[in-house]
Amino acid sequence: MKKTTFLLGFVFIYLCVLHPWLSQCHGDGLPKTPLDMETLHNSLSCVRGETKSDKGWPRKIEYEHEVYDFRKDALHQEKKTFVMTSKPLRIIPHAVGVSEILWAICPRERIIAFNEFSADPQFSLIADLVRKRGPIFGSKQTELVIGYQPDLVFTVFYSGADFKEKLKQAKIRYFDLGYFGTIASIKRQSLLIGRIIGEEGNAEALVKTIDEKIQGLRKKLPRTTKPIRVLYYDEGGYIPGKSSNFESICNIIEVINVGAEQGIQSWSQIDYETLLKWDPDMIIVPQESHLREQLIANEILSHAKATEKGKVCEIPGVYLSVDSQYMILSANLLAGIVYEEAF
Amino acid sequence: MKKHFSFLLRKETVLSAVLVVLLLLGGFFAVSYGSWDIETDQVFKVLLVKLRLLSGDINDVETTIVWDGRMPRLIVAFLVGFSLAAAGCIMQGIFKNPMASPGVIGISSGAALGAVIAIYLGLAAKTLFALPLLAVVSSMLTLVLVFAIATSRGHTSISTLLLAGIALNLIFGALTSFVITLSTREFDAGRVIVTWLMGDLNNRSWDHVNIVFPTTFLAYLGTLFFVKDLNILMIDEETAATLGVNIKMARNALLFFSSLQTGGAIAVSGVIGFVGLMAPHIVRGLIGPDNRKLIPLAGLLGAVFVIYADLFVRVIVKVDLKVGILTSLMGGPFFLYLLIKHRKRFEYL
Repeated sequence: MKKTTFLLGFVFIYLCVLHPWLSQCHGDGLPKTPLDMETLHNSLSCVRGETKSDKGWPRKIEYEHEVYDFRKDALHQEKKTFVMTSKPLRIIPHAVGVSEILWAICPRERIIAFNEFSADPQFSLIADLVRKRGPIFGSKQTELVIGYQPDLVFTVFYSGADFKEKLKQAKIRYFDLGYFGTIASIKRQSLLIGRIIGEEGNAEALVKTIDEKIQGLRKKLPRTTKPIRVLYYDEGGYIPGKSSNFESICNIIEVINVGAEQGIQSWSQIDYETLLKWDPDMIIVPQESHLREQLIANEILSHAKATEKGKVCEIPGVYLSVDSQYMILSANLLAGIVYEEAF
Repeated sequence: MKKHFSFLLRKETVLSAVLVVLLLLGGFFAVSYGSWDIETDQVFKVLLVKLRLLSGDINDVETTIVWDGRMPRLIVAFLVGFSLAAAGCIMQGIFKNPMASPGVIGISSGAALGAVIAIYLGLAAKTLFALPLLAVVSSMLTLVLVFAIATSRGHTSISTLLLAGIALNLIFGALTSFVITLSTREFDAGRVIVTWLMGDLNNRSWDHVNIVFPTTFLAYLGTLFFVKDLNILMIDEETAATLGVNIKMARNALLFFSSLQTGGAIAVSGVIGFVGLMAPHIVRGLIGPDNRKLIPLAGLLGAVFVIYADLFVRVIVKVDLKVGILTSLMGGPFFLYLLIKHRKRFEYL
């Protein structure tokens, strides 16, 4: 009896006190955030706007195709035209970001299949929902995609040329989307997707929601005398720079991405000595790694501001690979980590 | 004869002196330069205080950077270069093949596969020792496997050993590619694997020194014990047997030490190519094939080569060029140049 009482007591103390404390900065739980994560997720997951006229098919869509040149760190724009003969009713997205945007603006019954990464919680913030809905195809399973007989496949600039060629041979229309790395480009792509699938109203509503949520998030951020300098460090010692998603996330919550500040373009490897020299206020590491313990125990980094103040925090990797409206979710989470005391 | 001998001696002495000077110079630059600016006198003060040759106050941050960052990286570079070059000498001697290197019997690819598995399974992220341990263990298992394949009725055929090594290299290479394919789903793990396979000395610590020092030291001592036998084995096995060499024991022991050195080096640095092939060739071209002198001097050249390559990558280039890529980029053309220029001299075997 005594043993059971002791055990129950321990479990109670762990659940009430120890677990929230342990998971506050580095555990499996997420920190308190300016906006409620679940509410924010829901509001970005199904957006309905003004219904526009369903006429206008076939439609000719003129658009700016943006491709990011990693070597020159510049966006190349090209004017293109796409003709959609009828409203697409059997749509397949070939990338996570497109799936997430379609999930928000397109009636679900029109999305007939998802690629495997959209169903993988390491990459997708709608993984559970996608898995329940299905069907799911592997990224290389072109035959399956053709077998679903879609009337439109959304590919991205990094979709394989062989995949696109197979679609062409099977006479399946595909639309190649451009760069998705920043909030501005995500908004542009959402509007473009809306025009292509005939859901302009929903797309405009999504863009409006994105803007409102960013404003709402920024309003809740505490005022600081100078912006906080944050650095993301991954297992290989790589840090993101100016053209990374992390930079976009930092811009939303008005903190400085130290990698970009120091002139890194996309991703670059740095050693502990350089990390100490740049001395960020906070170091963010992927939650799936054991990097936090390693950095805290490191002799060189024991002199770094972030380790001295215990500001080495973890973030689930999925939030850093977001290429959709859910980037607000990532920013909200990062704000919760960076401005921990304020929430 | 006496004149000829003194000429050889002079060459060795000059080469040793040049290598030691290059080593000291490289070591000086390696500990003096980095992203954090530290005055040279302060660097020396830190080193002297840490070596208990001087007493006095030293800055905490600079001490940590020099002593816990740059010094272990320098020592790891030295030990890796030395190990790979020494292992290369042994392999070229045993196989009587100038193209032999630590990778020829599958040791390198076995170690690489072990390390890649450690990264993929997340073991490398949990503890620093998982990757080196798996790399060394898998290099040893490869050695056992290749011997089991090549040995029949107590006799190990050199040509079968070589062919089995080629086959295992292909199999392990394919398996490594398979693990890389699997790891592309996990972006971070994939990047760590690719970086590691390119050879990397970033963020090496005293723990890495503790891993590679025993393997280098023990293997070198062991090699010294059999170095005369290696010289005789290079002539031919019949002569060696006539001269009382236990061929089987000498060869197996030398292969074991070579594998230990290779496994230990790969475990802490990843795959650094060309050092094990190039350094023995250059030194042999200069001083001849006597392994008693060749192994330590080739080891020193290997160490110098890796230290300068790392220095170049870290201090001068500062972009994501990896040390393994640089050693191959520098070593390949230089090796070809030597091969073309000294064709006759390399026909010693």
